[in-house]
Amino acid sequence: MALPSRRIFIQDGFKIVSLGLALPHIFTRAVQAAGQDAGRGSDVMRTPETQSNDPFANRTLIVVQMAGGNDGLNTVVPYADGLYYQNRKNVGVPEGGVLKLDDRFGLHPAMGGVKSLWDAGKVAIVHGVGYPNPSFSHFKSMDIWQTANPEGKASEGWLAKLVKGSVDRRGHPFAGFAAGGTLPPALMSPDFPIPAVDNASTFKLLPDPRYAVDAPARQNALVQLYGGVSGDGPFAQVLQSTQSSTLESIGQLQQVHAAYKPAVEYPKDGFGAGLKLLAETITGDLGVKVGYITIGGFDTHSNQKNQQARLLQSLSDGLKAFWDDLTAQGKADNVMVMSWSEFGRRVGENGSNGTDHGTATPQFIIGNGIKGGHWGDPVSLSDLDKGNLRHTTDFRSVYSTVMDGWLGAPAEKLLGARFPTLGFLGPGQAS
Amino acid sequence: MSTLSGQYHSSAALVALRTTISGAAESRSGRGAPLVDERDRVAHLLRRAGFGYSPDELDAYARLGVSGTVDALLNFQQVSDDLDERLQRAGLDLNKAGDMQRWWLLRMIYTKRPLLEKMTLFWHGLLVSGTGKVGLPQPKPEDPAPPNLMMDQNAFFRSHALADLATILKGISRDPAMVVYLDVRDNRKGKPNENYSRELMELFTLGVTGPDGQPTFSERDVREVARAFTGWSLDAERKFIFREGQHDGGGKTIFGKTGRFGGDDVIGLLIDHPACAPYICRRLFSFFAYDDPEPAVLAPIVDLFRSSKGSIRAVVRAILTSPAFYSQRAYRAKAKSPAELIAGVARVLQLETDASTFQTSAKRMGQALFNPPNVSGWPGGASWFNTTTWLERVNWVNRILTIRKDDHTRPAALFGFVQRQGLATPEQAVEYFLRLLLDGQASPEQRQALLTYVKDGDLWKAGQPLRETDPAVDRKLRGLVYLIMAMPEYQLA
Repeated sequence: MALPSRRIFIQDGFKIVSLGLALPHIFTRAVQAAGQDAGRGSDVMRTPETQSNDPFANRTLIVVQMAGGNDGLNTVVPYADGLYYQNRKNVGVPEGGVLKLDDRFGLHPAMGGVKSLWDAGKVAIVHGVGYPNPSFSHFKSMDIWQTANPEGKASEGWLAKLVKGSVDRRGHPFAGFAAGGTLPPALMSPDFPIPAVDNASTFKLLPDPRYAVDAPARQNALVQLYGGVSGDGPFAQVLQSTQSSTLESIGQLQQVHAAYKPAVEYPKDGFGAGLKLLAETITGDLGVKVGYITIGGFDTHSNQKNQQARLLQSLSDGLKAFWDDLTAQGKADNVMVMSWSEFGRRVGENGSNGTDHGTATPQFIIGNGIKGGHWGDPVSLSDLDKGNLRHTTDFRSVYSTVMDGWLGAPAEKLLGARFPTLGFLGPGQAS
Repeated sequence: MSTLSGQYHSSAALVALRTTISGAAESRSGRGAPLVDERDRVAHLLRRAGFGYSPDELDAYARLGVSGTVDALLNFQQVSDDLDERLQRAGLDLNKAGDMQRWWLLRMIYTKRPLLEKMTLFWHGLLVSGTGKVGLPQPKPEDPAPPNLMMDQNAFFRSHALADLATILKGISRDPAMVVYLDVRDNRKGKPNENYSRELMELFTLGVTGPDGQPTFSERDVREVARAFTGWSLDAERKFIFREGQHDGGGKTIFGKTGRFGGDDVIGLLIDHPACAPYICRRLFSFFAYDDPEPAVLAPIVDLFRSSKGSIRAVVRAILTSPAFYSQRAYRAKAKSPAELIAGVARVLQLETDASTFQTSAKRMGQALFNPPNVSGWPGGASWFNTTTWLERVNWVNRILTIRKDDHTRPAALFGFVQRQGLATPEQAVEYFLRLLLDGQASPEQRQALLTYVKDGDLWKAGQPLRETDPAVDRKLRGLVYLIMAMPEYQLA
């Protein structure tokens, strides 16, 4: 057999990856990733094996995507601002129901769980997060957030780029982990497959029930069949790497799943189940640097009140249970949560008791070591851009803060530019 | 309620991740050039323009050749489809999401009009609505048979699958499921709702940017198009109605043209928009052939769209007969969607099934029919493959091939292949199934791996006639077909 040369040409010409394939690929992937890292030096991210005294070594970032464009004004409600109620005659959250944080802002009434974390000083709210020349398209705006590139030119998810730098020769299939059966673009990389798991108990390669004895021969054959694929066609790389990542992950996850006992009752919805799975991977010490979960349905063009309340309830109750579980398991100090949404909504409500696509929206940061409070300048309801909020904080500043300050990763290098960091992780005064 | 109930996954900038096309294949080591034989070209055509083939179907279409097969697929009215009795027998409750999905999967498995079913799937993925927001019928004593809006939309797509684009857009703009899904009914004079307006342009007809890289529409266009569709609504029985009193009849400026435009005028403006023909032709070409077609490949198809006044039939015929469609670049260049994988396996094994639980597997593979993840449909490509969906794919294939007794799906008749084809040795079995399932395209290493597996345990005794209960058949033949169907190449169409 001629040595297959595997060439992946990434469409916009950013890079060409070449690698030979001599061993079954299951062994080459980690080596390949490590080889790529070798060229970058050790500054990308430290790992438990190489830096045991590293304060960043055991830290995990949990990213919560609120898909659909969450209405930030009804989430962190500027209840003291008369303009808010003028613009939101029907969908506005009445002041009486708001969970007041101070004399300006209050959380949506469904967010009692997050409010209790706020009261304990564990929640930072970053106000007015967006980017220049906002896109009102869900898909374009999500691209921008997921690749950390407002021109939409990047070829790799920002979190995939972040975690692949943390892989050493041992591989670490769980450096990144997506709860749910879908891998978000933020964790997509052509050469670094990140596991997406919706249910740990079914995450197995099934045998022929009559001939379990045949299973090793079948698995050997599978490895050979994927190693022998012609590498030139589309999807060859993604299929190979997905297969090897899956086979590597199954055993580890099954072990952790058998050992895990949640300390709390999680809400019985998809978001709760996903958070529970994330807690499993964290308590099981699988080495998850970045965990990801999505809660969808925030595109509230009509009848917003009930829909958003239900979603925020699910979000808030889930996060509270997650935090209580991690606390009871002694892991909360190692975890930070960051929420995001592709945009907020128009300041003025529409005619269907809903709101149309808008711009800036707040992000929540939750953690034990953080400085709770308000960060970034609150948005103005009087100085609007064609009915839309002007963003006050660039989302890449939030990314930078988290990468630098929480994971010890070189944010400037990963983002390709320097962005001012916010103070929620270090010295600094909340506004 | 939200339009976007599921996870978002569309991501134009990440197209590179999904396709990773490396151009012409240079070193298909140990493989012959694909798509040379007429049989292989017909097999390729049936994978793309339909849901694969049974061995008998492939033989029959191969006798027609590529050109005759394209004619037969396009002129589906000449083929009678005897699906009704089979769908009846399945005993489905079409007020339930799972049974709706089974109903459609059964159509894909058993239809004799595969292109019609494939085009219905195309429209479902382009002009998206979903049960998550539209809802399911809730029969009550006073209203025992309420309409099933998503099923009605599916019937609309099937009956207009190859019509001209204007007819399809005018129909879908009045389609009750769409009117609910994108809040058209909430779009009233003085109280516009931009949901349908934006997605009609961004996702259904133009794209965000055109071939020249410029934005295809402005935020003002979004507002003005929304005004043009004010008053489009549903009556108490959830039938389309135009409510004159809620319509904004004033002047509007859309794409730089000014007039007292209504919704149908907007559809005319969209069809004439320079970005529309390239967008629709690209979507169709990518659906059938491969992603990111070269401009030179697309150009004649775009011209044909324009000269035929937006005839989808003409465009589809042009794609299915174009040299690019049969080029090396097109071969195994599409990731099989879950529906394609499931229907393809069922067809080639000639399964007798009522598709019970198939819909659950499809959903776990990432495709709940009638309920796409969001308004941009299923992103497809590499997004079909992650650890969970890959496992579900191979585990489903395993489940199908290891059925020995099941009330819903009869065991695959693998021994019939042995008898009909006279498969006497492991080598013959490996070659026969590689030929049937992968056009014989496998590397020497892959052939060797399959052979090693079949011979492992020494169950296939040379020179002895095989019986159905022999472990060589019951264990190794099932395992062999499972392995080939789990192969990376088989995950691609």
